[in-house]
Amino acid sequence: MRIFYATDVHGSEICWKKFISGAKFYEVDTLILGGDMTGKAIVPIIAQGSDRYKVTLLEQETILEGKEQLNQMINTIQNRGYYPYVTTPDEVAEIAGTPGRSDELFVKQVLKTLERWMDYADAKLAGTGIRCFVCPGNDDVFEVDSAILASKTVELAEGKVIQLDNHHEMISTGWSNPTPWDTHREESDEDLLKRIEAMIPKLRNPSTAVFNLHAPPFGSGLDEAPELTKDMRLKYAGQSLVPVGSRAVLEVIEKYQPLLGLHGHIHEGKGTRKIKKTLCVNPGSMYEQGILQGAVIELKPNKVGSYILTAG
Amino acid sequence: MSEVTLFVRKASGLVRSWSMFDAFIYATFSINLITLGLFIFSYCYYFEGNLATAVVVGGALTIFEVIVYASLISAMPRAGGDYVWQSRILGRGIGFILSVTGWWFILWLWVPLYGQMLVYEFFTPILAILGAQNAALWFTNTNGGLLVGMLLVCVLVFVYIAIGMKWYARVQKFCFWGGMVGLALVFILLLIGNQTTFINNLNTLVPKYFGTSPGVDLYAATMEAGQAAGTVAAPLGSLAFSASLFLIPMIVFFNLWPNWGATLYGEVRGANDYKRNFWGMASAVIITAALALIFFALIAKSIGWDFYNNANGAFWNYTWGYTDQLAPLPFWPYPVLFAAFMTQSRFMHFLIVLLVSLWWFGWSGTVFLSSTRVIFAAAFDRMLPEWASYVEPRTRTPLAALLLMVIPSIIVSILYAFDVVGFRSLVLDATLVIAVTFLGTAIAAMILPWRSKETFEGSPIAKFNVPSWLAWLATVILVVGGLYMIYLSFRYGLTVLTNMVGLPSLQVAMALLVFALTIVNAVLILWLIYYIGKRILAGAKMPLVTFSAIIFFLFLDWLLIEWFWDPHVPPFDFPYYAIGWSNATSMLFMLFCYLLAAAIYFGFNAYRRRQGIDVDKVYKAIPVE
Repeated sequence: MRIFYATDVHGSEICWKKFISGAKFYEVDTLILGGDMTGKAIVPIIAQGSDRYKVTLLEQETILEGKEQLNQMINTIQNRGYYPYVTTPDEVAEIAGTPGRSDELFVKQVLKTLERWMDYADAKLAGTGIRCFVCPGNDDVFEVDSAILASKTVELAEGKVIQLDNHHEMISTGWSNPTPWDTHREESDEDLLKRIEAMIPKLRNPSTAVFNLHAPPFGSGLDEAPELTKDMRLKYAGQSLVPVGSRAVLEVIEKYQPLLGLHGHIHEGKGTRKIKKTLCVNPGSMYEQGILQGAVIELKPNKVGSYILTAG
Repeated sequence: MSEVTLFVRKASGLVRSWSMFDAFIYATFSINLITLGLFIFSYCYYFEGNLATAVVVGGALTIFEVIVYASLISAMPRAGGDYVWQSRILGRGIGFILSVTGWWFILWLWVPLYGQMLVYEFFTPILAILGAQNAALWFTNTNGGLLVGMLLVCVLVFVYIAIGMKWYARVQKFCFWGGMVGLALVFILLLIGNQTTFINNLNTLVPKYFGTSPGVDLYAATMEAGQAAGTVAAPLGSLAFSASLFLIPMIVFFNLWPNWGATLYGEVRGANDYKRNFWGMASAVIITAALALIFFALIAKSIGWDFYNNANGAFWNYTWGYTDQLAPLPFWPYPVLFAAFMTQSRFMHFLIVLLVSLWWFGWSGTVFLSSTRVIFAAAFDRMLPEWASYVEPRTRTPLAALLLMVIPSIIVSILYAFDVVGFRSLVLDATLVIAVTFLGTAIAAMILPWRSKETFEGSPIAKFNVPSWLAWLATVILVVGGLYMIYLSFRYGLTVLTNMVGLPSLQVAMALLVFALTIVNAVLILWLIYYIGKRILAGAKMPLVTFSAIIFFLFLDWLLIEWFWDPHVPPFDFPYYAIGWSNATSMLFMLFCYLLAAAIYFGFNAYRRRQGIDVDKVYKAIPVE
């Protein structure tokens, strides 16, 4: 079987569409999306009257004239992984001034986007026989699960054992070890280990399984991220890299030696690493540039056939 | 209350911007005045130009390079640099060949150069100061000594890799501060010293440290030996503008690299991150140039500008074998040591040389760290065997990548140390090959706004456009400059080709090869003129990245023409740069690098296709309906 794996699209519309289109482009039969599907911010597009709007994207202010420019900007923002929100100056002030209001709005935008994504997938994948699995990551609010469950073609993989084909099963979790941001799905390595271990007894044969675990193994080189100061700045201008992966993930991979480990979480950690018998892959992420980094992997009954990292 | 323009969610994963001062430190290490700068300045004694003029003009042109790289980093951060930018925009083959030659193969030549600087700037002076005279002279004046220095570079790399990027970044910062203290001491000594003190101390200390005959006026002897060596460097006070232009292809050996220290990680939040990267690199270029000018002025004041250049002439004249008479000063003329000689204190000599050597120690890891990244990137793209990205699990050492650097570096170091087939003349190859890589990136940057339209328009640099009059001016510069490069290269080429009678056939072959490259270059320039010109004529705005890339491209193109043709001194027996057509060793070495890269690329392409891997799709954008 052939898999196309990508991860950390973080709300980028174009990356989601590329992910779904990747099945045909890379001629695969299974799509797997690792975690972190949701964007990081809402960009207000503030009406100025007379069909004019003001927007600040990437610290650059633009005045939009007319619907065409507005729609182009909405597209650009969506492709960048942010959520455009057409609004008024009063509403912006109200959102900014009301505690919790922006969080509410954020969840609404996330769900609206995910519904659109699921509809897109359903339209493209229906009747093709291509299976599509997604597993929300540590950055994803819990509400996304229900949006995914509503899809006819996209399957929610979190916590399940999935039969990929006659020879391979997959376990998945988007939970990670602790991060500096206190994200939605993070927990201590001890608890993460229990979570992963709970799935493994349900596998018939861990040695031919795929472990779709969002956090990369600790110290694998797939988990090197810039060291941060206490106030979240890049230390030493980003020259200092430290391993931030999960010891729990490392432990299960070393212990069970599955065929394949699929990881994400660290966008800079693009690469592959063999840990004992397991090929671990982190395709990295360049979602903000609208580039979908991924991996095309061929699985044979008892081994990984060919694989390649892509930047589509 | 200021207007809210962005609602960032909780737990965003976003980081705040890095310290620009930190960015400045790492960029400053990359254009290292003490190691790269002083080393290549010492080569320039036979040019009639003024080093100060060259540093200023060359530095100004490098600012365009800084804009290009800051723009590309902003548009495509975390992208793996030149390799991915070129692969994405120009095509996989070009990206692969230019990146492995520029960031891996040619670094095999940088290792002996690093070793040579380690010997000249650390081992020889420190051992002499400590009283180990024979060892001090052995390092500089024997092939074995130089080789040991080069091998120690290879040993040191294992230390850097073992401590990891986390500690190496800290070591660099420590070395920066220590190095700056050392440099400050050097400047203070030169400021309060004078030529009389220097001459007296030189004549006392050199015999004591290096065993030369006492009672000899070494200052006068050095001046005489330098004159005999053909020292013609312009006085520091004279502009010597046109003569100084020909110094620029020499000094880019030191200042073409501000991008090496750029921040490639993190998520770009906006235009301010672009400005941070720009100012981090630009301030390094400006401040390093300023420090160079101050150093020159202080050398002129307290040591003597003529003495400095004559000392270089005398040393290299002997080292390069143009005379068998040992130079009066039997060591590389290290301005830091000269500055230390303003005092008689052995402790101060030791302290200053040790502190300033931190410029070398803090910088030396980059040669292996850069190449490891490219080797890994190529392995992940399946263009190298899987084992190339092997990491020893216990020590987390990228063993295979290190060996792919260390083993060829040792071979090249042996060739260089023993000057086999004139390998020591290849110094500027180390710059030329990377300049070719930069040329590829400059072209990628120039056409990025149209070639990768969506990536560009979604980036923080999309709104940085030059005013239309400047766009037109840049287009005219591209046309006029481009046509001038074509004219210049053909003029040089025809001068050489019509005067080749009697030359060895290998040199003739090399001249014909360079002529073929000249034709390719002309076609490339004409295509760029057409590509950009068509769009500007159609009313397109010119982004700042394109504007800067045009200037940077022309600068690099001119450098390459000068290096490859170099027909300055008929009848071609003493070229300025000595790495072009008339140096078969240089040409064959570079040819070998490019052919090897091409062989790996095409070989692995074919191999992966046979494995059923469609390598063509690696960098192709996925079409979306």
